Amino acid sequence: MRRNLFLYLALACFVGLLAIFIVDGYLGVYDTVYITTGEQSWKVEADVWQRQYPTYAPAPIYEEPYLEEGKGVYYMPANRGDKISFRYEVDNRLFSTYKADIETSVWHSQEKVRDLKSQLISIAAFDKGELEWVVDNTELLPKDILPEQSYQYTVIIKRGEIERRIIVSINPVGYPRKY
Amino acid sequence: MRLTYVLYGFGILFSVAGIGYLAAEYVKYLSEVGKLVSLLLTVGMFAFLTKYFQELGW
Repeated sequence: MRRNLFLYLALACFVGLLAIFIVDGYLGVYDTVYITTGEQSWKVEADVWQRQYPTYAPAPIYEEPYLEEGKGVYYMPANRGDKISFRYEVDNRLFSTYKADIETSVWHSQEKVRDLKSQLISIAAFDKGELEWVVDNTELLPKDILPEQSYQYTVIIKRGEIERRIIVSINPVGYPRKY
Repeated sequence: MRLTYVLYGFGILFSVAGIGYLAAEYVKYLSEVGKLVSLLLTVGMFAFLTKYFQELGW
């Protein structure tokens, strides 16, 4: 009888472990970015930010940066005339209200090019909040850029202490976008 | 017969290694409290299992 008790306790610990994996994996604050340009849209899910390597969408960009620099970064291609819509969704899976300052900006070569949107969000427990903005590539390209030149800029989303980076790589003129 | 046990041994070893690898990958995404409680439960599980086998006379 006592022997079986130890077995049951071991099983209870195992079940508790599984429960923690499921519950702890679900609880937390998760952020997803929805990007739309032209007829295409991409969903950058919360796990992308945790990855130790860069994530490319929708197909690899062949001018690969050094991998360590791309940790938790999302790369996407675009064309010069594109207007890119971003929707940043924060999913609060906590038992309390989540409040944070969200600031979005465009950066190039470690310098801020412009601020996009800034807002204080307050999300009730197990609810979602979102922020939307549009980036026009034509406004960001340097005036003296040659048709055969590519250009990159980074959209930085700051949520409190957390920072998310999306690198937009603008193709040269006439360069086919890869899907 | 002996070969069968060797194969069982390999099967068990690979299963445990696979589950261990998946758990180690998943643990990265747990919160600090979750990691601590998981560690305590793992220790408890092995402790109770050891006691169970001890009672069996192993």
